[in-house]
Amino acid sequence: MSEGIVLAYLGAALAIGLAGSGSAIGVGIAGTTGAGLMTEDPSKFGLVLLLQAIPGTQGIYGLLVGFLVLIKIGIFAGAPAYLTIKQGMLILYSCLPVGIVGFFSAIYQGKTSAGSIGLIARRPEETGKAVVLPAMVETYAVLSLISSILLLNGVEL
Amino acid sequence: MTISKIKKFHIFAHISIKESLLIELQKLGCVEIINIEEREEFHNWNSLDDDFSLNSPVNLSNVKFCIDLLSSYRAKKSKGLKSLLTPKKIYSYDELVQLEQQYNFQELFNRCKELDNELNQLNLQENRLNAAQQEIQRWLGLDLDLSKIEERKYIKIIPGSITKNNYQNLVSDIEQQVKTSVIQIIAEEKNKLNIAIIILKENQPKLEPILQKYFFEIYKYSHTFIGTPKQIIKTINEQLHAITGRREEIRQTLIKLYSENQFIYPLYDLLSIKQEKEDTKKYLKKSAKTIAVRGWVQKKDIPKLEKRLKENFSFYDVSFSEPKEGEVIPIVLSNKAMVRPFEIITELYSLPDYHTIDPTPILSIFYFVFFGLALSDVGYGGAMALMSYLAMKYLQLGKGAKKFFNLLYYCGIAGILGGILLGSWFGDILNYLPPVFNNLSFFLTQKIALFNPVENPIPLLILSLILGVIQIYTGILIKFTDNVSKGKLTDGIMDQISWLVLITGIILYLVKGMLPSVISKISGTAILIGTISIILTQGRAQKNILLKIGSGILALYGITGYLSDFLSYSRLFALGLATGIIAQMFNMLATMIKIPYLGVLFTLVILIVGHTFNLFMSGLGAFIHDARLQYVEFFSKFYDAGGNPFRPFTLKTTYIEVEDTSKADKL
Repeated sequence: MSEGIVLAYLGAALAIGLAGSGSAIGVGIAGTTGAGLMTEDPSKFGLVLLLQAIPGTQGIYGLLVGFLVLIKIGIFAGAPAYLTIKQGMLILYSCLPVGIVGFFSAIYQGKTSAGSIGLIARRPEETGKAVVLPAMVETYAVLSLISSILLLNGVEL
Repeated sequence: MTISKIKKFHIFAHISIKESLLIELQKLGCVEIINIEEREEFHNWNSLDDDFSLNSPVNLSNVKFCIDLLSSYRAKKSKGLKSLLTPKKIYSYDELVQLEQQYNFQELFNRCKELDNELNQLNLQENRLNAAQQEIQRWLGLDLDLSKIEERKYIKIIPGSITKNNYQNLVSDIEQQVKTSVIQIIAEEKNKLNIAIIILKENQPKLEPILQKYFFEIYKYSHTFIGTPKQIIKTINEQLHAITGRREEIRQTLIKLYSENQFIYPLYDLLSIKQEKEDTKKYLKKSAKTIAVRGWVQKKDIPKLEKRLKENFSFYDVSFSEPKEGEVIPIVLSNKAMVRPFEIITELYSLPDYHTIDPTPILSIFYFVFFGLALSDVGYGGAMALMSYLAMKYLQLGKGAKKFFNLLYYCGIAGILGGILLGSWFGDILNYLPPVFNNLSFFLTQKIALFNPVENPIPLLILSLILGVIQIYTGILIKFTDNVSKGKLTDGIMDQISWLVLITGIILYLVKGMLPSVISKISGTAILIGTISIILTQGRAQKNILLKIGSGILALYGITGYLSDFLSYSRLFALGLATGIIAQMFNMLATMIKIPYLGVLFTLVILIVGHTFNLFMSGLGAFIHDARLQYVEFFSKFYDAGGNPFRPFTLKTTYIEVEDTSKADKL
């Protein structure tokens, strides 16, 4: 097995691990607030679940990039490609945007979701706006995902 | 214009028909009654506040109480789905009114109240008994009548608890100082001992300091039960048993009451209809002989209203007028059936202002296309369309829910189309089919599909951006036509066309490599013209010539806004790709399992759970991001929000449906 592949593994692990941790924290933050709201009004479960799920997407983006890395280096095909250190580094760097941005954006999106949950608690008619606010944070996670995909696509093996 | 035309109606009627007029309007359900403001013409008219007539015991909160109590004791818990499947009972308005006289609610209410009180009493008693039981359980080893423990002539019995550490010291101290004594351990708890100390009464003063020294807690028996702890526990258990029995009896009674008194549901709805009518009265005005009603009605409903009044009343006058400038006019969107479900998206944001345009028709096209790209899987789209179709067909849904499922149905179809375009069928599940289907899967994923984002992401990314350009241009052009139609052609040219020229120039410049060289010249000119016109026009609100130019130059900064708007559409690409790849991942995980026989089961479970999860997450992502693109990128270009919804005065019900009888009569 080549040395480069070690770095590629690190990249995949960082993408999945960082973005996933961020999502876990974000979903947790939103969930705590949501549970608080539901003690008052359990009928809002559907809406709360929706808002709580929004910070979960970063984890999926991270998983997606990690998965793309594994496909790219041929892990699933059974015959890992030969990677030089340089190629491994490139793959590792490609994973960083989604890992780093995913981590932080998920946490802040969780906070925004929590705020939105507070909003629908008092003004249920403003659901549309409440959903858009966390989606604004999501933009940067999406952009980081696109960057990671494009960077990864640019690595020639 | 898909915003319904609204007119104001004014009704004056003889005061004797006040109630029946309101009832007819409520049954008709197409007018919104509004407050008559204090003005000259009404200055000596009074409001009807003094008229409230709902002080009877048959009122909403009492009925609600009975419903809550009885429905929690219904014989078999019918599941939520079942209640969705059974249609609501339909009553005519007159039937409802008769119903109220037919049944004796007061009696039922008293009975419910009584039983509810008794249940509460039983609960209280049960808690008390349980607490006593727990307490006395600890003294089970003491074979003495607890209630008579104080009544000994010569000896003193002191039950109490002490920590294990202190016990030995206590015993030795007592033995040394009090002498005649019996100390018995009754029970052992975690780190405490329950003991009984028996001494001669005369020695009591000597004992007390010792007890204090070792923090001996004397047990004071405070219950009224008589007998030894064993007997008491038996009594308590008997009483507890009696309580359980009685509660079961009450439960049976309530179940019976529930099945015998189904009328409370329609009664509740009738009362809320009446309440609504009473609440509306505060908007009316009356003089000695006349009442005045004012409100909004859709223009298309005017004949209906006039006809209804004519058929029922003779002492009235009705007139209609155009809404005045500055009045808050309620909004009804009236789109074609195909577009109607997408009104939800507009309404989620905010209704349009009455004097502007409804964005729904054009939004529906964009929403459909974007959702298709973001979900982009034939399997998921199909599942979504199928489920919402079944829901619409078999579930008893309210109007709003039906509309929502209809929207999901369209979104599902969009997802199917997007999936065909990207060659995604539950991800790459076609590759796992037996080799016989190779041709089919090759045809579906390679021939029909135009994009393969996993292998070459760039074309799909460009498609997303092009869609973004189209939508933003549309937004700007809508604003332009709006300006033109309001006679503000110059504003339109300065605020919209100048930006369009500049943006077009920049876009052409960015892609000039792929186009003939003449384009790059055009792009340069466009950028120049656009820039100059923006600098010259965007500061026109300022008075000072320097400020004019300054604000114009500052306005150029807005170009970053447009660029980030375009880039924002790249999310469509990311979401579309994500759906397919995650699906692919689950397929791979599922087929990795190589256990004989049982493996098939695991594979199926992983496939079902995984794809359901992905469908939920991708669907949610597509829904939210699509909506966001409409709200933030599209609406910001032209949309005037802030309309209030039209809230008709109507028969609002929770449990049943009410039919307007006069309609049925004519049929």
